[in-house]
Amino acid sequence: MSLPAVVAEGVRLTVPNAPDILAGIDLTIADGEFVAIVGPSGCGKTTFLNMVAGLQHFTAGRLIVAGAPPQAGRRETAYALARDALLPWRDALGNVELALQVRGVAREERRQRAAEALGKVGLADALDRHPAQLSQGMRQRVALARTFVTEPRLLILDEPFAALDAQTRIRMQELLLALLRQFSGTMIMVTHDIAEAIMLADRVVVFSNRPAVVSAAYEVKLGSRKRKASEMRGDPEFSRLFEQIWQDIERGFAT
Amino acid sequence: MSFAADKLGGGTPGARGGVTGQDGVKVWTIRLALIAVFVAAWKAAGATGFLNPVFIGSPEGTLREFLRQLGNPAVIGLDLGYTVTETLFGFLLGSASGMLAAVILFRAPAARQAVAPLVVAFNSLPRIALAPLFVLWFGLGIAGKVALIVSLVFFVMLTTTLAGLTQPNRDYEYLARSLGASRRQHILYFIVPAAVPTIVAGLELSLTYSFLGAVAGEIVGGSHGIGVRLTAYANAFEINKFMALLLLLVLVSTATVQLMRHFTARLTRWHATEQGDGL
Repeated sequence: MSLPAVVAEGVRLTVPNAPDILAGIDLTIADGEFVAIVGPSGCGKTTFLNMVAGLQHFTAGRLIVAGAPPQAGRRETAYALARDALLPWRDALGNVELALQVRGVAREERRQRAAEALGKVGLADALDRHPAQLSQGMRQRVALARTFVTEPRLLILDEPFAALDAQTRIRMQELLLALLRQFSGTMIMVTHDIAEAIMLADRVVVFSNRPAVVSAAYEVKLGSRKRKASEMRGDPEFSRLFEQIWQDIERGFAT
Repeated sequence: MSFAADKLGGGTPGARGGVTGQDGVKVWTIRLALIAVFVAAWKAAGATGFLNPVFIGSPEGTLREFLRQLGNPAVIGLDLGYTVTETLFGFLLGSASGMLAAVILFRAPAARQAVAPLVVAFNSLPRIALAPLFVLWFGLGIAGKVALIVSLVFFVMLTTTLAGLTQPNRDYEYLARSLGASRRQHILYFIVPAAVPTIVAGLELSLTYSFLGAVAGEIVGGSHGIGVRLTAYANAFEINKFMALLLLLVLVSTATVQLMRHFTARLTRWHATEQGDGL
């Protein structure tokens, strides 16, 4: 039994002269587990994710990521921001390369790996296009390639498809599902899309309204990771879970 | 400092490349029509007696003087040489020192805060007012004009470079940190490339200001230069010669700015694309 990927015990964030943001998050994520966090908007989901990524401090509690306090820029961690954050002056290849360049990978190797990663997201013929010449969906694909190219052990995704239209989002979810099938590490993602959470995660964690605590958690028992997104939506278990999580979040708004 | 003049001047360098075929013909038609209207109005004002031709010259007289001027390069060559030399020296010295100062202030936030109001104060000073002082200090030669240009360009480049380097982008900052970029990598891969279009726009503005500084300095007091010659023509009511020389100055400065654009276009092409001008 390996170490849990993430252990959070009473993680709090209080700010002077304002209501608390996190009231105490308790959450353990096993190594290799896929967890999705959902909750009312503005409840502190992204804030918690930023803490796991080491980008944001917390005021009380204990947070252990891969056996150590969280720290930004760890080699085995990859963080995909809500907006694609592509650098407009670099072409698609250059943007994916960036993640390897920062780690000091030699030019030849990083170009080859970046090109492979872009091939996996279906952009093999758009390597030299700049972000302004790419559609939103393609930009998000580049961002995904940049996230996966470093072969991370911990994948942190913050609303990866929030900026996309409904149809593109579904196609991107299918793509991510396919990428995740070849991924043996841990994934933690924040989303406001309940269906997306059920589709991509082994476990869905519900955050309460601000100040946030973990108000519920559901194992997704839908034929493990072999599932197909299109079949899943027809599953009665899918609808049952969706309804339940919906109610949980609604209750969060009521209190 | 305003960028309005720059915007009018054709916008970002890459924009030119987007104008092709039918659009290109249209643009040039409008451009030539505007010039034709101006020349016609100029001619009409003199011909109808609305304005006295003694004061405004005439289009054909200006053209005649312009051609004579070109046929006799030795006469104005020396003056043009002075003005261009002053301009380039002042531009290089002023923009290099301005950018260097900006980088230093970028790395030292405390110093940045300390000098910010002083920069604003000095920048709001009409620098031409210093020209007589520079004549006093450096004499009538090149040095005084270079000093005047540096006093203009230094602050243009200081403010634009600093603005470019300090434009906040939380996404880039998070990305850089989450990728584990060192401070050096953060500056090299994120901050500097993002600042390049602003700096290039500043350089273009500075080059125009350099010509302005050189000619203004010569008008206030100089031994040689376009400004000296312009003053002499105006005082002698040689308006056609004045206009012809002005036309030459415009052509030279426009050509210089275009030359710089040619070299900087590659650096800012992504920015032009981002602004929707197409590649």
